[in-house]
Amino acid sequence: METTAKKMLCMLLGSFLLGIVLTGCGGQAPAAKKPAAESNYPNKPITLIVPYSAGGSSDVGARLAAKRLEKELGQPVVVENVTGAAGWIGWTKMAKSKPDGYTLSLLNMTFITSYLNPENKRDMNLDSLTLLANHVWDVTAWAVRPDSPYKNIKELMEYVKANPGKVTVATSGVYTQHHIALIALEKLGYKMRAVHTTGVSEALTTAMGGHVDIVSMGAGDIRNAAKEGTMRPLVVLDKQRSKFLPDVPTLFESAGLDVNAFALRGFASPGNTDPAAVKRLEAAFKKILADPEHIAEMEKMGLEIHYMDSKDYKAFMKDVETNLKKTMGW
Amino acid sequence: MESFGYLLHGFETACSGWNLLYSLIGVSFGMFVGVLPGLGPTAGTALLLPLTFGMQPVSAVIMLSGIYYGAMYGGTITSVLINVPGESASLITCLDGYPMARQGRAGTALGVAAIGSFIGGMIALAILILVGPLVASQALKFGPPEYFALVVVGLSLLIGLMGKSLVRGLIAALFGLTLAFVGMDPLTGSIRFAFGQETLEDGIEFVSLAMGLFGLSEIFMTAEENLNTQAAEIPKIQNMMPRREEWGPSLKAILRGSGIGVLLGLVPGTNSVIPTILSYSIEKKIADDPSRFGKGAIEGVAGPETANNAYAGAALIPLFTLGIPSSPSIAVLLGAFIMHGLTPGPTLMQRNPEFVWGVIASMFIGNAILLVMNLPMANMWAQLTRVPFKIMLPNIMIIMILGAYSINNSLFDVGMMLVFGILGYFMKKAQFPLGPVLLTFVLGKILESSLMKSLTIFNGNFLGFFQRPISATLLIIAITIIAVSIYFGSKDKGIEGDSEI
Amino acid sequence: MKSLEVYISGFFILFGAIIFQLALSMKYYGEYGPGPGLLPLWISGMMVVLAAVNLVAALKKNNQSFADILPKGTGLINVLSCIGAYALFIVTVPYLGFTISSIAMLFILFSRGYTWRRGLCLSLLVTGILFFIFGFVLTVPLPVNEFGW
Repeated sequence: METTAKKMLCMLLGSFLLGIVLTGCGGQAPAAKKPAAESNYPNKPITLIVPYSAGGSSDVGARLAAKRLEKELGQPVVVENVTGAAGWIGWTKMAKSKPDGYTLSLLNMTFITSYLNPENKRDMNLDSLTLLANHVWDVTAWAVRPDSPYKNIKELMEYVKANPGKVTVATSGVYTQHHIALIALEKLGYKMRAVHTTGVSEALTTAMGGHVDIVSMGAGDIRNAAKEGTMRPLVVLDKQRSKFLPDVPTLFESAGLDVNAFALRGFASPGNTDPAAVKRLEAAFKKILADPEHIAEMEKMGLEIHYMDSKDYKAFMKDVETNLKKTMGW
Repeated sequence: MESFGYLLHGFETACSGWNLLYSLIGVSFGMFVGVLPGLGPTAGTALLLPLTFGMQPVSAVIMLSGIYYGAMYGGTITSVLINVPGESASLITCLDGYPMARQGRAGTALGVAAIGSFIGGMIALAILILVGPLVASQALKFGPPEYFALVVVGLSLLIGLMGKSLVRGLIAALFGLTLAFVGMDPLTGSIRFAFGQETLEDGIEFVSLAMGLFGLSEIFMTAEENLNTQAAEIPKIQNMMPRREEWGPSLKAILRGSGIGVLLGLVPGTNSVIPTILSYSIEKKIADDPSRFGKGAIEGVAGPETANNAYAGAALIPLFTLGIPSSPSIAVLLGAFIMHGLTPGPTLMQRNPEFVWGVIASMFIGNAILLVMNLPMANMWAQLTRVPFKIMLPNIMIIMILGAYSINNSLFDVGMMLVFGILGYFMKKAQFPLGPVLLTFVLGKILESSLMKSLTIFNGNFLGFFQRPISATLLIIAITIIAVSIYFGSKDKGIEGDSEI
Repeated sequence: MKSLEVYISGFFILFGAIIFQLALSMKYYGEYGPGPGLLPLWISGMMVVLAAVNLVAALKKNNQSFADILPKGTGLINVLSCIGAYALFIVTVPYLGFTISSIAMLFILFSRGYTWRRGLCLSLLVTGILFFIFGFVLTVPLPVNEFGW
């Protein structure tokens, strides 16, 4: 046993010399005590669990990243769609797999909503996972029909304040970021009625038909609808303007409301994933997510890349958790 | 003609090598499930649905819709030759088709059915091309209240047409609705009836339900009867064309059948059996000598066989433009759309014209292929009725299991399919109709969510439904349907034979 | 007294009653309209009532006795072996992997119509083909055992 451990240590050191990281060997010593053969990670195919069905924008985005990851790591990255319970079944499968760095999953911010909601009785939280890197940052924006009477956001918000519950907003579902933003606004005295549809495209057609006043969608989707001329962008729910809608004011700048909404999609692996693998993956993600080609192909889909490393990502998700708890009273 | 240009493009898509092949596979498999007694288009489409993973959406739907209308052709063969309907829409064909076969005119019966099916299919497609874009352009006016009203029309028609087994039919319909409630509530996000199963939070998997109720139950039925029985002797097929004096009445029956099929295809809540029954009873009513029917009247084959194909084509109109399935088989196609990331509805025709028109064009090609398969090659297909079931059964079963598994990569779904298979088996034995379960399962989800959405839009005011012209009209139609069927229900025993669906 | 109709109606009554019971604990009415409990409550309630009506009618008629409806002899064994083989597959597949369970299931089914030797050959062949098509061509992540098959 001792000799194997020594061998491992040697191999590990060797790979570090070959690899990018030269520093921090002392810090890595505990990993070497583990008997798993991670020194030459990755030496077999990696599975990326996408907890949504194939073909959706989350799936395509993850597949694009998987393709680049494959090139970077020199091992096949197999995308597996494990659907169910709004992603939870896929996350459970990932969290229960071996923490050897060969099973990853796409992580959505709704992971937090899912376990915070006491009705769901979930048995995991952020600390059950190893967060690797954030990938997509999808800012929420609102749009109206071109002939809508609501011309600017300031007037709209004044109208909403004076007429609580009069304006309707189509969302892509209950407890989505779109819905939670409306709850946050209601707490500030701006009550609107949320009409929950089954997805982005239904939300959009309901608004296009004039059955609701406003549609709440990702900024990229709104950009596409605006290009077709079917919708007019109204506001971005953030402090900074979106690069997809540079001419559209933010809720903060025009109405002074500090309510933001976004979707956050990144990558995670099971809790206590082998540090050597984590390090390798982190480096790989850092590289591919800065690749201009990848940024361009994602932008074409209406998705904005926002890289965060393991530490920042975790800290940010913790913030999201705190905010959600406050807004929803969970 | 904007549509015409699109259609030409569609032909380009449909004629590209692979799609042509998929169309051929689809219609052949459709013929196959149509010919095999038991397996019908619903089970057939559900069976191949999971296999289309990774295919181009347009190829997948070309293939799956091919199964659907191919089965309509194939079902005729067994009805005429051995007096066993290959699928439920060919039930009526037994009445006059089999007597014709016994008179040595099997060829003519199959010939006129094939020609009628082809003409019916073509007329329905023409209507789809002309009316589809028109409906689509108006479809944005269909908001949640209109969807709700349309589903209510569908459900009332489902009940109105139930006929003799009303109580059983209603139980089946309510059962389907109850199953639709399993999973997350669309408005509040509460999880209902999941019994602690995370898999059930998204609701019951449609494919498990469809394949279990329709496919697996039928396999059990057949396993019980004829695993080892010898196939019946089949009569020889010759002289496919009707006699000269029969052309006139046949063509008229074909045209009437087309009209009936197209009209019923537009309404949710129907199924492909209803147009055949309606067509048959109309032919019988207007015939000079109604006593010929049941003894080999050619109109009795031509009319219904046309009607079910016209129905199959026309049922795509509400699917493409509104995303509402009219029949259980169309509900499976809807599942295919969703699985491939396409949302049937108002924007489908604008956003994915190459998809919609590719599928439509493929149906012209598919129907032409089927005409060839059914006229010169009818004898070959007839031989299929002799494939021993003992080799078919295990293969069908393992493929069904793999199919149910690969939808969500979930063994739970495979288990659910067995549960629904056993349930379907006993329901069939007790003569409970299965169609309503599947149809209300799909419509129930739309019903509840559109009701919730509408009431949010109306701020809780139920009268809102009657303040919008389209939804008000539709709801009045629904009320009329129920009233009329209650009135006639007390006198008439309703349409017979629909308990078979 | 063993009427199939009675059992089926009984099943629907039971199923409806469970849903009804669960729906009672859900919110009946929400802010703008029916809550998550309203429709399930009414629909399952109606189902229970109708199934009870059917049950009473069936008890009066009693024309479909279970013994008549259930297959006899070979038919019964055929149906039971179908269900049994399927159930065996579901139970064993998480442990044994797809290939072994599939061979076992197909063997049971094929040997209903063929000699056991032929049945074994056929089940090996079919499993092999399907494992290749689904596992490699369509890349479905099939349930596999420790050894990857």
